[in-house]
Amino acid sequence: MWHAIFEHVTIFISVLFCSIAVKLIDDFLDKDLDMQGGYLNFTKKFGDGIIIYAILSLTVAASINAFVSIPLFLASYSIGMFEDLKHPFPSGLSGMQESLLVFILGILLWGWQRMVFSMLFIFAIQLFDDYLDMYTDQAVGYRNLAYRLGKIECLLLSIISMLSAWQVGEHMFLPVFCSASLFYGILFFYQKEAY
Amino acid sequence: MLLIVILLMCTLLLGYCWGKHNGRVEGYEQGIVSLPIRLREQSFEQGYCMLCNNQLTNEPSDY
Repeated sequence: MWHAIFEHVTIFISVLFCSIAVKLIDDFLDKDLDMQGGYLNFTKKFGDGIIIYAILSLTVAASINAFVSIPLFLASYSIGMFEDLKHPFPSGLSGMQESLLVFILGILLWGWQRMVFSMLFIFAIQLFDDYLDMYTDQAVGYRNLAYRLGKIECLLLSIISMLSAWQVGEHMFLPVFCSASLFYGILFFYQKEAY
Repeated sequence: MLLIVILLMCTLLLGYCWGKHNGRVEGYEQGIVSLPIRLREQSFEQGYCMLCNNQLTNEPSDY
């Protein structure tokens, strides 16, 4: 019983740190786009040095529970890069090739179940985020998934993806979901407060 | 149980996409049929005929 509670707590905290790392890296990469859209951006606010805290945060997350946080980070990278299909990366590969490579690497290192769970979970969050930001993204000329698929289709696909993640990784879904929701909620209200 | 909910949501999504596509096709066809009538109606209300570009009078037509 205590072991189960302890495991849930470690998952919860590690996902929280992993979310911080993903948010900081995302802000670092998208600072120009966020400036145009008027989004809250931590790189804009605290400078480029913030990327060090992203690495630190990911290291803490991996130290607490690597089995959950690292596949989630790899999935975030894979899904984030997949949108940038044509842009060439420093590795010389395209976004799609890098995404597939990271996904295969994730499966080899952490097993298919953890990796598929992470991909579905992050994809659901990405879709929900695009659903909320459809009009602001459109205003800066970025056609996100909600624009391309349709708003309701995007929301329904997000729910399906989240439920599928629950089906695949039943034992770790609740702490991951609670932690990600808490982080997303804090970010949402912090962004509201900032304007 | 969860699997049933996922299947139901997938069905809802497919139904929504199908309905939206059908609605778009039907709406387009309906628009093509009703547009000339609507335009003619509007031109009559503004006092001219959009086909011959003549002003409307209360006199009976020669034709």
